[in-house]
Amino acid sequence: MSEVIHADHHDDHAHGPEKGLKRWLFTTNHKDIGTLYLWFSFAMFLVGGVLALVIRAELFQPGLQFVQPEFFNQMTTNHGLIMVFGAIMPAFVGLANWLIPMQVGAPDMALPRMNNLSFWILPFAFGMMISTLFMEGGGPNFGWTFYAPLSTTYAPPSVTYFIFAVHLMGASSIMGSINIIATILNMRAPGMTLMKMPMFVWTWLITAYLLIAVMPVLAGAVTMMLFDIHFGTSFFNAAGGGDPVMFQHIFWFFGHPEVYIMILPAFGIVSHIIPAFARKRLFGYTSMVYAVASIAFLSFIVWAHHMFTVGMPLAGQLFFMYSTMLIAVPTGVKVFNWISTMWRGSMTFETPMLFAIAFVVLFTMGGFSGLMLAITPVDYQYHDTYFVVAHFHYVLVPGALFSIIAAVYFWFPKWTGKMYDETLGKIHFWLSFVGVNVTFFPQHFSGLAGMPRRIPDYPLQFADFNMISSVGAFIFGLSQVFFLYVIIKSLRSGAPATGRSWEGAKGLEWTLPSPAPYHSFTQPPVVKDEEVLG
Amino acid sequence: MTEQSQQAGIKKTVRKTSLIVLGMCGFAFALVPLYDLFCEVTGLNGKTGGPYVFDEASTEPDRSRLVKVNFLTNTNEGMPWKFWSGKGAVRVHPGEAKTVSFFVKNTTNKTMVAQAIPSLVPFSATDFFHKTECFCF
Repeated sequence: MSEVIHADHHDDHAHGPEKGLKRWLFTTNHKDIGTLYLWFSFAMFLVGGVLALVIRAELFQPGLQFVQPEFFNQMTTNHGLIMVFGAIMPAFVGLANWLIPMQVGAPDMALPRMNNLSFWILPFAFGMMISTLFMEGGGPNFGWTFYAPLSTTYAPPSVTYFIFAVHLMGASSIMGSINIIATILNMRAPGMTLMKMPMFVWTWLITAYLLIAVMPVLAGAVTMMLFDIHFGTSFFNAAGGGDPVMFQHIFWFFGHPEVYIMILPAFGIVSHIIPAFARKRLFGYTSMVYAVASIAFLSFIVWAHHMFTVGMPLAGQLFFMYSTMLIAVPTGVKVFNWISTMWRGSMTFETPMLFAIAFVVLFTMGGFSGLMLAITPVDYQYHDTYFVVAHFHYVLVPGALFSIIAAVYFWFPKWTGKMYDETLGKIHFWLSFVGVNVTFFPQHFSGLAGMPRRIPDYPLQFADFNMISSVGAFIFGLSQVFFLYVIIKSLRSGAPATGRSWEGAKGLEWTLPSPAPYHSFTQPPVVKDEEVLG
Repeated sequence: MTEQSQQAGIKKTVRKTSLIVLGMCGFAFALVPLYDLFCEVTGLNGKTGGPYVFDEASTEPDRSRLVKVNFLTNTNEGMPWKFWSGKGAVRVHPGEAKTVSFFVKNTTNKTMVAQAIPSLVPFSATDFFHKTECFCF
């Protein structure tokens, strides 16, 4: 057997990556596919960002300046859909592709060909969805939550494209998740037990299970929409015996686990970066694992807190209020563990650490506004206001997005063999940090004062908060273009990186040279205790 | 772990996870009847309880109270039929039986099939109303 493996080894070295475009089209290499995912998600991030800036430009002053309400609705809808399904989720899948095989000591992902397919259907899905913006009648304009009957009876004719695009995205996510689960469960290096796995691997394992459980429900919801629109069924039509409220139940049964899909891998990333720069072991590894598992379980029984105002019995409101508040317990465990990891550590503040600390602080603020929203009686006041917008942007932008940026800076030397420019990285951090707070903090106030979300015009009393918010949005948007410059400059002229790029970094990936070889571990590595995170 | 046993493990994982995916697809569609069942049990959405036989002899109407019941009739958009109730509203004593007729007229000269859906608001009233006959034509 060992001879066979040896022969494979030589074979790999003789071939290496193909040249030119074919390398990217036909690749089955986890690093190539990870790179594709990351660049794709960055492109989508910029597209979604441009839509956000159209929104903020329109809201800079009261009155209609740049766009018509109908087009404004398409901007809010597509901004949400592109950022959720096109930027955040593929970025995490890209990181999973790059990191999981290296972190568990495997040569590649378990199902490399399916890996290629699950990436390459994404550009088609988003091509299809974005093309609807240029069609007669316009693109999706019913909000990213596409509530029926807005998305069925009153939808633009292009909604069918949207439905098929969502089907494709779902198929991509499901295939990606199956691949990740198969890799983690079967390809760990000998000696790496489940409770010795790096936190990023743990969080992705749980996220992948969430994905395969809820993406089919999303597919079911859009299929029912398709039937209602084209085949005369009445799943969501009250006049035919259906119920539009049922759409909301089905959507949020998918939607709530979905929001944890976008944050659990972030928890994993931060659990790598904070110990590395605090030069301590991760505090409470076991409780971290159980906290993630509890959050994942609770995510299935809280969905109706998104719909307190549609009318539900008191018992239902109480159940969903208390179960939602319960999530604060495991999340609090994680936050306190990160703080305890930093406690009395010999900390340094390189760019990834800055983003990770900003994550802990700002994500916690987003969590607190979530707790406020969980209180049913006050939710009647906050529902569908800018307070909700501020809440979920605080958990998604300085939450999920900051963790992705932190991960890019942290593992950039491992991926490319080059160090990024520390000064430019810090400038990028401070611009982003100031930009994100200037953008979203005032939205708490305009929301509490009653400004509804998804409107192109607003009463005069909200003018100041909106102007501040728009200024912040442009600062934040431009600082992400600066991020692109930092990355390209570092790729071209970064200083060479060592194998263990950070003094305190732990894990199998840091035992490899930088840049990591095209095939990581052709022989399973030995898992030494000092490389274990917990 | 040898190469073969690893490949066998991967196959097994893929089979199991694919089953979860299929099961959840089924669950998504099973939510539709489950939702109906849930509404029937709780009276949400104006769904009244199951079959009920009215027995005039054993039911004593409460003559001290009078309840007004309004009947609203709507057709789906694009539905050419006319649909109306004989009386727009009735006043009844609780426990009393009254007959109200509903009419439909097919205004086209084609044979058509339609479905009538009864619903009751407010939802808290669903415990006090019973469907004694099928609401069909």
